[in-house]
Amino acid sequence: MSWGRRSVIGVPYLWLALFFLAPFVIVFKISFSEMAYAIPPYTDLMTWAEQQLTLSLNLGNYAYLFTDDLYIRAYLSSIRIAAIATLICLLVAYPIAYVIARAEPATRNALLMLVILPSWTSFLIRIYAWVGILKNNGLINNFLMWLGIIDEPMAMLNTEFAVYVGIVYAYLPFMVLPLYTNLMKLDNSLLEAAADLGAAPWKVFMAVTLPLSKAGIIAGSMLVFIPAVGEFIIPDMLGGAETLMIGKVLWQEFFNNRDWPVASAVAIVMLLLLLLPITLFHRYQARELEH
Amino acid sequence: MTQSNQPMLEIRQVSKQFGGLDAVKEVNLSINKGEIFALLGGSGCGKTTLLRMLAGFETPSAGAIFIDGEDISQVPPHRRPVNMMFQSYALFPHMTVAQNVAFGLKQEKKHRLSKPEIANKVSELLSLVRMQDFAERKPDQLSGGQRQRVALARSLAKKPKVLLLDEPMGALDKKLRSEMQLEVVDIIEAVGVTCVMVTHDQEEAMTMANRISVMHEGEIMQVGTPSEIYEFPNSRHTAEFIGSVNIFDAEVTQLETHYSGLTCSDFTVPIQVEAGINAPIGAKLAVAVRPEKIIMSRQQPEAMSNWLTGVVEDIAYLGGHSVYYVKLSNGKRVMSVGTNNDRHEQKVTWQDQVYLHWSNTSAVVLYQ
Repeated sequence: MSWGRRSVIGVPYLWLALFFLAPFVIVFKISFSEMAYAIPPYTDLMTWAEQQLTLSLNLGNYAYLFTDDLYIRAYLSSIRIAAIATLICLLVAYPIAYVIARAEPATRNALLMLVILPSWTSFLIRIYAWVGILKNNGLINNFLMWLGIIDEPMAMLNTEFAVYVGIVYAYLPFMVLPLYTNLMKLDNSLLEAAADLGAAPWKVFMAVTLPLSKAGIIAGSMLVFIPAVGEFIIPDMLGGAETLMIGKVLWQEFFNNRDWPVASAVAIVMLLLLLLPITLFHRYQARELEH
Repeated sequence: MTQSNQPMLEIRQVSKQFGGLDAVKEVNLSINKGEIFALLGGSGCGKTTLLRMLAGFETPSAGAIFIDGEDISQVPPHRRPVNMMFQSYALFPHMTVAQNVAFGLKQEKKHRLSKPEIANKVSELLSLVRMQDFAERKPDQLSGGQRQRVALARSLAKKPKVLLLDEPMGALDKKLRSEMQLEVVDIIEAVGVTCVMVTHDQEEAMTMANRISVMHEGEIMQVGTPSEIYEFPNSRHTAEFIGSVNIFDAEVTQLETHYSGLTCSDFTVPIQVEAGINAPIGAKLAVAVRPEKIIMSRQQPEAMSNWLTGVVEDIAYLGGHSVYYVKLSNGKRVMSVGTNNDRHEQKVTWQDQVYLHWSNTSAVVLYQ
């Protein structure tokens, strides 16, 4: 292989090694250390004393995750919230993507812009804006009270509902875009053929459109589900104290408790949990590419 | 063939506009039961739009479509007794061959079919198109010809009153095309279904159809059997669209009972045609002669009409026959076809002076 070729292939590997593998190894290492009041706030794995090299692996951090049910509840609750939010995202995004894919080419680009445009503002500011919309004297409550539909404000901020709103709002483009790309490729003559053979419009959708957009549904769901599980900003700003999500636990371990080893163990376990859907997704994608 | 006089499909004064442009203009057609009818024309002539109106994918801007006496102009596609074989076949890629064929049968609402009934019908249809061994394959595991057979079986599954074929051979290579043309006709005739096909390929229309309608700019130019269309074209457009033709602009000079005479600047002798002409003396018309009707010789013909002379400019050797392009003294080119029935024969060659001659019965007068 020539030098040029090697570097073209090598650059992305180098990138991954520097910015993915190295941090991962560091976190993995910390997860086996013990907490210490020092800088950095953990002990070294290897110590050299009296001509003895000692490698001490502390599995206590992992064991600890299973002794306090906070962590297990946080993992399960994160997965549940992320799964439900992904499903809502899919239900909202599918009609949007369908309409965009079927629109006239000129309208299509304008509609796509509308989907992408909100992402040009800072993520933090957009989530913060929802605080103003959802809080007790916020936009929605004030409007409903002005209409006289409700007498006192509904509690929306600091509930799981607000987290769903936030995740669906923030991750919608990641669901719309893969679905749109997929539905664009859908051959219109297949829909006509199904109608021609006697299928009513909803039946055409169920029997042809939906199964053929499976790849888009899976890709979009992965793009929403995986980051949503570890989401920190949305549950922190909109979910309040009641909402338990692993991202928040991770933050608290790192910055409130300054327990880096336990925080690292939390992160490693989360990664392992997400590995399963990611592997399934890649296997599916590889199979799709073969066709 | 089960032909009767009752029309299965009637198209009455059907027009279709797209954004103010006429795609189909006041088309009237009556298609008999069991007939294979071809809509033939170049791209943009409105043939596909007309077919899509029959399937229900477009609604006519004006006029009505009757199938078996019933007006279906406003009926949505999934309730029409019509099935279509798409140009791209439109086989569902996520279903097996058997599932594709069964799709229409599963949609039956009035007489819901049981699973074994559907399975029986599917295997019957697959053996009709000789695809029974491929029932569990997916469409992307089939060749072009096999996909076409599956598409045909699928469109026949519901026993439609009218079968629509959109460019049936469009996706096949040339060799497979001629094989499949005959096979598809055999299957359609075995089933006895009335069939409307759209094609731009005149050879395909002539091979497959009982009757052909030539379309041009949204209008029907001529309807007739393949030989009527070829031998008696009624317009310059049809004559030029179907096969090759030599057209001469001529003026009527003589109207007798058994023949008519015309003059043309390309000729030193008059042109004669057997039939009477529906125009007065002095009328300007066109005379069409098919290249294979022209006899080429090195000697001047004895006849006092229907010949002209020129120099062989080009020869296209096509194996079975050759096409000779003869340049007249005024620069016009005339085509003549000669069969190559002798392997060693010393034929006419480039730059030879030749005479082109035909009989009174060969030329056709074109009024428009």
